[in-house]
Amino acid sequence: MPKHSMDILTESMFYVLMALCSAPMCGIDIAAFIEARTQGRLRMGPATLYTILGKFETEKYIHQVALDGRKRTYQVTDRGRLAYSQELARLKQCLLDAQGGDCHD
Amino acid sequence: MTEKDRPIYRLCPCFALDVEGIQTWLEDLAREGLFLDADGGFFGFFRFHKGPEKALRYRMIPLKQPQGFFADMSQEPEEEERAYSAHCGWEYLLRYGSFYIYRAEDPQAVPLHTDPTIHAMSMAALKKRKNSRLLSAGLYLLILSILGYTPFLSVFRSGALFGLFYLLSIAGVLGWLVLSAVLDSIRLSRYQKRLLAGEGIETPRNWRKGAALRRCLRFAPLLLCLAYVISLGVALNRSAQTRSLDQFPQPLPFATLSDVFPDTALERSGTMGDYNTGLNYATALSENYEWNEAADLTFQGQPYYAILRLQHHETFSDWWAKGLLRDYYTYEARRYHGKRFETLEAPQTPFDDIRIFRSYGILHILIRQGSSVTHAVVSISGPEQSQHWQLWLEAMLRRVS
Repeated sequence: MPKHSMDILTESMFYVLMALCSAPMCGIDIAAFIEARTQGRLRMGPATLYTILGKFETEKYIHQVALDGRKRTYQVTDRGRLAYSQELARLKQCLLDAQGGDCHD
Repeated sequence: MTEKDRPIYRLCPCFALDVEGIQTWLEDLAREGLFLDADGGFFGFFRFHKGPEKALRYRMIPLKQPQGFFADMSQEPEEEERAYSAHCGWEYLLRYGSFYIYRAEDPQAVPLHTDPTIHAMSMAALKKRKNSRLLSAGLYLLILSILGYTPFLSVFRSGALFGLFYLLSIAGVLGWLVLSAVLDSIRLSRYQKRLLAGEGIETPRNWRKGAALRRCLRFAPLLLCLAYVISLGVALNRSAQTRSLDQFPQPLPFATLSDVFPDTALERSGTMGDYNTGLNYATALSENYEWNEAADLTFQGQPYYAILRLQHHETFSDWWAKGLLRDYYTYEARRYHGKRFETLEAPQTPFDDIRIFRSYGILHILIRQGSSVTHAVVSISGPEQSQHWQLWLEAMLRRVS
């Protein structure tokens, strides 16, 4: 069990960071990005999405860059980008371990 | 207004943090044709309207922003979140306590929470906020203890027929705060564990079990507050029964200035506040007197000025009287601790208990004889500002013997 809730990102958290690493987005656009990228496999519930956004903002993984009417646009921070790349590396290693190969950059 | 349009109110049979219970209850009512109205909740009552029976899903999502005393009381969900929820098939209804309530008609609608870890995380944040309430209640109890809460004295100071209710209402409210905070924390922890184990959201709860008791318990804080208000009301009524000293039948169960100076004419000083008035009232616990006397007199050829402010209680038992005497002492000691409070050596007397102390320069005498307690503030000033409070004590001894 991780001591800190952000030590290991859940799948939902990982995809939200993925979306924001590609471009600044609002919540609805993030959900659409994830659904498209996963070809419908992962549909983000609204409560899950906005809880993650709130948590990421608190942890300074993202910050709000614009407020247009009711839409808040978020952008990933360096800290968030680092967390994403670390998780990506971890997942790649898991895949390689499963395939029985060594890690090559 | 047709019968269909007439609002129907139901008292929620579950505790405020029983998420699964409330969700199941609302879904069961929907199957009976009762549908929750938006903005239709207050003090545990929900407003419904009648319609054709349907299978719906209700879900409760914890508020995200911290709830402080000065927090925005509207605290509705963000517009974007509501719009996306609507896009996913969820209608936002209302805020209930620490939750937003949503409803979906489409059984295929994407769940509000698709990640149980994130759902558990949101519950953890709520639990943290609720635990801070427990901390506040604990701190309040600690402060009360440090300030010297005097339960026996509080009963009599309220002067209420339901004086015991006054005591119990304060203890009850504090106890309720602590107990409800503990139970809330346990409830949230268990729900978190079930979420992480993959249970909880879709599992119906048997809300009917214990529903009647829970509904009654909802009114417990209200009843406690009502008891407090009643006791205060009676206390205010009591103070209206004040009358002048000569209206009291003799003999009294304590020594007055007339007993101290039996053969001396007392010239009552002009009315200063409540001087030269008295109060006699009964409660379920005791017969009580308040006595305020001030007089100029000539004693042994010398001018004296005497003040006597006294409370006397004929209680129902020795142990209650002991507690009351201790509270009088503690109250003054805590109020004027340090250099302003000084305990004097009491003379040997046949009284069961006697304490003499000076509090902010004013002399107090506390006497317990059996189940009666007398608290006297005595000032008998003689020539050259000499003090003769012992004269009153001698008069009390004569009275008791």
